[in-house]
Amino acid sequence: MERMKQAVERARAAFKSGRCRSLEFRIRQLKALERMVHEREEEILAAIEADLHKCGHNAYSHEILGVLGELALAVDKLPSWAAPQPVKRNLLTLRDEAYVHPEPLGVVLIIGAWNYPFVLVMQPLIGAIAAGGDPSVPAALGAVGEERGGSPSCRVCLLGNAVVVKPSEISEHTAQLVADLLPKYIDPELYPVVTGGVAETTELLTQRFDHIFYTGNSAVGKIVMAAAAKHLTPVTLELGGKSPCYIDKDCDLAVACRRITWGKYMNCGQTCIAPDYILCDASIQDKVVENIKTTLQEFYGEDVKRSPDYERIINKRHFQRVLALLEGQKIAHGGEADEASCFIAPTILTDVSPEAKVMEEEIFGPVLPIVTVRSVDEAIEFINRREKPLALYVFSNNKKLIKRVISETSSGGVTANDVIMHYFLATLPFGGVGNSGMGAYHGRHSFETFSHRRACLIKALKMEGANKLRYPPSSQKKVDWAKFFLLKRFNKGRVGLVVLALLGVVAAVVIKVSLG
Amino acid sequence: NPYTGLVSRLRAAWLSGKTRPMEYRVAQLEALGRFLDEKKQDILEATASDMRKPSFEAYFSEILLCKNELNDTLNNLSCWMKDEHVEKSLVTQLDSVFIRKDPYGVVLIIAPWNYPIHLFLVPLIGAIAAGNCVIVKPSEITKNTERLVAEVLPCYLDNDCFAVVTAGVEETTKLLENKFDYIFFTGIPSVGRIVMTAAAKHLTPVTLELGGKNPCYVSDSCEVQNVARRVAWGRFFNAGQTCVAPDYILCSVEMQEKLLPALREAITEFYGPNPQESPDFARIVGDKQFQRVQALLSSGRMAIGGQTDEQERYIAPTVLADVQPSDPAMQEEIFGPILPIVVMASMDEAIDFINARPRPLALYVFSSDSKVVKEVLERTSSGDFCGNDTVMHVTLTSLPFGGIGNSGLGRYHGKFTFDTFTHLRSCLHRNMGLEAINALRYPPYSQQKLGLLTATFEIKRKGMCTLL
Repeated sequence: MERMKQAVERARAAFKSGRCRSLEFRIRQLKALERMVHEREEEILAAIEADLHKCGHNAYSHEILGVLGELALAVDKLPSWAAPQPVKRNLLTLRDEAYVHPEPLGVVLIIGAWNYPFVLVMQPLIGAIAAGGDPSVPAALGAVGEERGGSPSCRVCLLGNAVVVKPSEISEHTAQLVADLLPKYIDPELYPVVTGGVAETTELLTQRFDHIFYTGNSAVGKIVMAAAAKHLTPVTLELGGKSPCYIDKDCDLAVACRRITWGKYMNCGQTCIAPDYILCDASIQDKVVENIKTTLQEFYGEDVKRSPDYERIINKRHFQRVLALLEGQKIAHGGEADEASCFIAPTILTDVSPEAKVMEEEIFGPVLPIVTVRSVDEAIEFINRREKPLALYVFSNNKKLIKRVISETSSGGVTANDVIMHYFLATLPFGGVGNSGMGAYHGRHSFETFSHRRACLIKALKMEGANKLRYPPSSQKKVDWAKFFLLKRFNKGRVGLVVLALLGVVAAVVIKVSLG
Repeated sequence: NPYTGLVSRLRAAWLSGKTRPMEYRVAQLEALGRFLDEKKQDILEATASDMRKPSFEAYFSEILLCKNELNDTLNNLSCWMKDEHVEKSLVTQLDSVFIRKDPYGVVLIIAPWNYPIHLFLVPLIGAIAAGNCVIVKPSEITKNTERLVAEVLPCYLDNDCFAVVTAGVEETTKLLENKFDYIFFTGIPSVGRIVMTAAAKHLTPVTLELGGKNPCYVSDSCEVQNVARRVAWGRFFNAGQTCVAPDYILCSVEMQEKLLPALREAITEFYGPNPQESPDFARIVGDKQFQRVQALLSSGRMAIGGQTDEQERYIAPTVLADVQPSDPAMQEEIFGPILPIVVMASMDEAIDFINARPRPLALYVFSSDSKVVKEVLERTSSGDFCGNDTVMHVTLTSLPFGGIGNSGLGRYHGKFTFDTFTHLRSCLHRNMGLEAINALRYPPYSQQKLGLLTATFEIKRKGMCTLL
């Protein structure tokens, strides 16, 4: 237990230390991570295979590809993300500097999940390392004669975060690999890895962090947020839920079902944004089943168990949990299971009742229930009666219907006419809402999650004349001047900035004369 | 739970979609504008009764700044509400990729007593603009304003979707047991913890605008009289009861000697020889707060002011010199018209002093040397920062306003308020065709498929050939 406290204290000391964590330093760390992924690819794939029975190609495209993409993006964009951003000024501040100054938060904690054990630790880590500012950029636009370089006495440059990484103990091979590899490539004091189970994580959560990033389930999400509340620590919670998938009668069923099959059964259903259940009209239920069966054959062959492309349930506990959901259900396809290898065949359930156990919790397994609804109205109502999901899917040729479903529901994200794919766009913020989480990341959103954007207003000590209108003693004249300077008018016409500036100077002089 | 019915009613209104159309939101916002215009006199009178808020201060903070936010929002709402289209990748070139601005649902705004209208109204503007239903809980400490808001605001807003709840500590605890989709709290850190803990039970996201001790470093090179005026104005506005007021000064012993007469002159300029008679100086809001602030006077040496009048809850604009870090005035946020000066041997010592303490909501530096200002900025952390003035950064709607660490989480003002109450929902609307390209991602897998897939998915470093 002491181990947890010590790791955090060392990280905080490293954060506050005299090391100048410039932009160059952070980019070097990110490039080191790139080298790590390339040089150790075999070991990473082997660890993921050992944990999830995931074949190399799958592991590469699910976990490595995404990480390399994020690293390339961060290294490329970091200078622009970290630069101060000037903001619009009002009449009173026209001659001042006003900008938002990105800064690190301090010591952040990343708790990973077991289903995509490498990428779910690496992607937040990339953002956490990248986050912060760049003092070499002159904040004032048009600053003349300022040299690029560190600020004068950069004895304590609070420019980057320290990050404590806690991979999931359930995916034990990947957890151990991360603990072994990271210290060999990036600064081990600034970015320590701590391993352990529930007890160690609980202990870790009693420490003070400046941000906690948690990926996992809602029940533990509540525990994490409650622990964070004690220290007023902001959190990003990437949780889950039951992501609904509505199939309209008017759509290309063959294509729709192929895409759904891909998203549902990848990683043996253990994907936070997998389509959890299907909502469709009873008249197309059989065709949906047929199409999915055909696709399963295409993907995994006659004997799914023999396919190298089909994963396994992570452990016995989850195996039993998922199997129990099949009790009393109408199995239209699949249902075979083998405890020894934690194998559950791709399974489809039909005519599922909304009150069934399989419709209560997130399935996180290769079981696809179909619930029949009579109309899109009923589907929308069904979705809105439940907790807000992490993802929402709708298949239809009718653009208006798709727009309607999106507008009348709420979810973390949406993909229409496909599944999963919104996850892969770095320009889209990825996160949940309500029970499915809070906050978002990916691409620039990761950088912003782990940065504090500090508002800065820098005035000159001169031009005191204009200030006099706000000082007591008050008078009607001052009130009128205040209104002129500060009040935005509704639907104000566009006035040239030059004219405004001139007005400002004239007004300041007039005030100085009349009140001075 | 006495509030479950109300929350359910608002949630039903929310689910009906009433608050979504832009016309509806604009109508409600315009009604808020009419509230500020028509009830201006009532607002000035209520705040005057509650804490003798001078009418100029009340007009400036409770009306003017709110109208600014309102007009900024009305001018830009249609732009803020629009779907934000973002850059696509190679595989999504023919798809529609955008961020939808979704309201959260039923949100709760809890406001404090120091700027009793402003601190619920400005968040309310953003919450309405974002399309939410809102419950407002104004402070029970400023009784006249609370009554005004509870009785009059419902006459302007749609009561199906917006409600005002009056509640003390116990009732607020009950209110917090309900599930909200967002909670916006302004107040002290200890209560912030309670709010966040309650929110955690429902996984409700929060914005907490808290406080702390805002340091004000004055370097040796500066125009002392201007500094004194700007610091005095920020400190004594609202009798010091401002979350972004400069809480204490850090400076050299020489600067302290120069500042004292300058501060004395500024105070006299502002409030006359007897501030108790000035109509422009407020009072402490309540007896409990008065006792608390009065106790802080026994710190350092009394250089200016120090007079009190319990009947009126008057504490004179006071400056304490040679204050020690262990003195009472340095143990808690002052939130009163007392300005301690703590002597520092150097700028480095001042920076170390600031960094050894919880991160404040605002940080102020005064210097004619811009390098000094920049250095303090780079070497410290705070919610916000203002060089060569105090408080004014909160009047710019283009700057985000919020704390860090103990001083809070989240930010608002201007578009940031709209963003606070908006869930950014990622949307990808794909084509049903072009299934052949998708085949790359389907099993059975092969090295060849992987190679092609990598080419289409990977974000490559600029300078290399990329179609992404």
